[in-house]
Amino acid sequence: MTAARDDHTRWEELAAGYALSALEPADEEAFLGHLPGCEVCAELIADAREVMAGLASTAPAVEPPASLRDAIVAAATPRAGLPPSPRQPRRRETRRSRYAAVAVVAAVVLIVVLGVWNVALQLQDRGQEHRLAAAERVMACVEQPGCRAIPLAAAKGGQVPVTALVRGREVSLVADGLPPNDTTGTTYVLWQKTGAADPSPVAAFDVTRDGVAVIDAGRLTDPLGTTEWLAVSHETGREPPAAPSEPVALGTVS
Amino acid sequence: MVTAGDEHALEVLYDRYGRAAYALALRIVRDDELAQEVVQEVFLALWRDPARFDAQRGSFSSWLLAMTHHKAVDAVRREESQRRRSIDVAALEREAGQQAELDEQVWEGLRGERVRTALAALPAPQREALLLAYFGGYTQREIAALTDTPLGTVKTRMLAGMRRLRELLQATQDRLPGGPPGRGEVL
Repeated sequence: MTAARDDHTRWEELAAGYALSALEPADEEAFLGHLPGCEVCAELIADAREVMAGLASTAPAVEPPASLRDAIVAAATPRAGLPPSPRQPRRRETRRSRYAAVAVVAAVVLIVVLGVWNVALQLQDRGQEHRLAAAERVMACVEQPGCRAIPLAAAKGGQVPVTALVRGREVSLVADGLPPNDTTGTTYVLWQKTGAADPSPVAAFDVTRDGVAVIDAGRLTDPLGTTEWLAVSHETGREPPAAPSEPVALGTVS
Repeated sequence: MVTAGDEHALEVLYDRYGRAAYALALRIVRDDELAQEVVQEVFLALWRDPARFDAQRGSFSSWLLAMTHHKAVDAVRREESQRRRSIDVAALEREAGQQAELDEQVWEGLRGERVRTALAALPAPQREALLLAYFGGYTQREIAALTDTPLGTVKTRMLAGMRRLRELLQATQDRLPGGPPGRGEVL
């Protein structure tokens, strides 16, 4: 066992060098042959990136020239409104192939963000500020390691209408396209299902306008780690019923 | 045609991360035009293919900065900048230990200070290996030659330094800002 551990230390050393882009070509090629499927090395690289971000914060603060933003916007404009398209494979892409499953959640979250942008680009409507605010909320969650973004898919298929952002037990919802409810006689309800227990209501909320809404939905009843699924239902009456009607959006929590 | 909507959409990303990415790129490539090219390449790559970010493994900001670092190192190796090659270890350590600029945002300043303190607590050979790789853009073999150290030792130091620095940073981890939200409130 000692020999096996020692043997893997070699890969861990290469992982640190790989994260720092400091490997010689031969070492990098060898490491990329090892990395797919190696959870230890993948974690080590992710940890190294957090440390490197810390190192980046020691760089002198300098303001980029305003022309840089203009150049980036101008370069991206021909593609605005189009769905994101894959570029040609790069040397760092191969390690992702084995993590396709976990990448799906990330892709959904970012596509939600970029989808919000692109919708905003296309519509140019008064709701644009709300969409951008929503994109900021999702991005802020994605940025924080302790925050989970959980897409709730429409029960009848189609695009994801709600993304739940959960930090600790605090939960907020980014709803895109949920129709406004009758605030005198109906309500939307966020439900949480854990283990063998019946689903419990987390919060009742209203959607008061078309387009994107960001809703702070209070605290989950139980920790996210024990949660089987989160769902949103549209209920008659202003208070949550004992049990949900058919959800309009539902997402399982892995 | 550049519309107001396009500008606003990109500002969401750029305003949040552009400054940090540019500061890092400039620190590595030491050339304003080259740093701008690197940052532009990073943001456009993200815009075109957001799925390359894996949220299961670390924060978005650290991933974006790692991508910036990688592209900056690639750029500086392409350029073989004479200035970079003349940078010595003492200069790298001096720069990494400098006080934050006074006009730096409070949060960044605090974080930078925390990292500087952690760096100072690292054994000198580990700190040297990390800084030469991260800010100098040197490969492990180049670091071995620069520091007159066996390559195997450099690899060991790099891993040990990375792990030790992570422990030191975790020990002083600051709480992220943000208060509890209200119930059922549409923002």
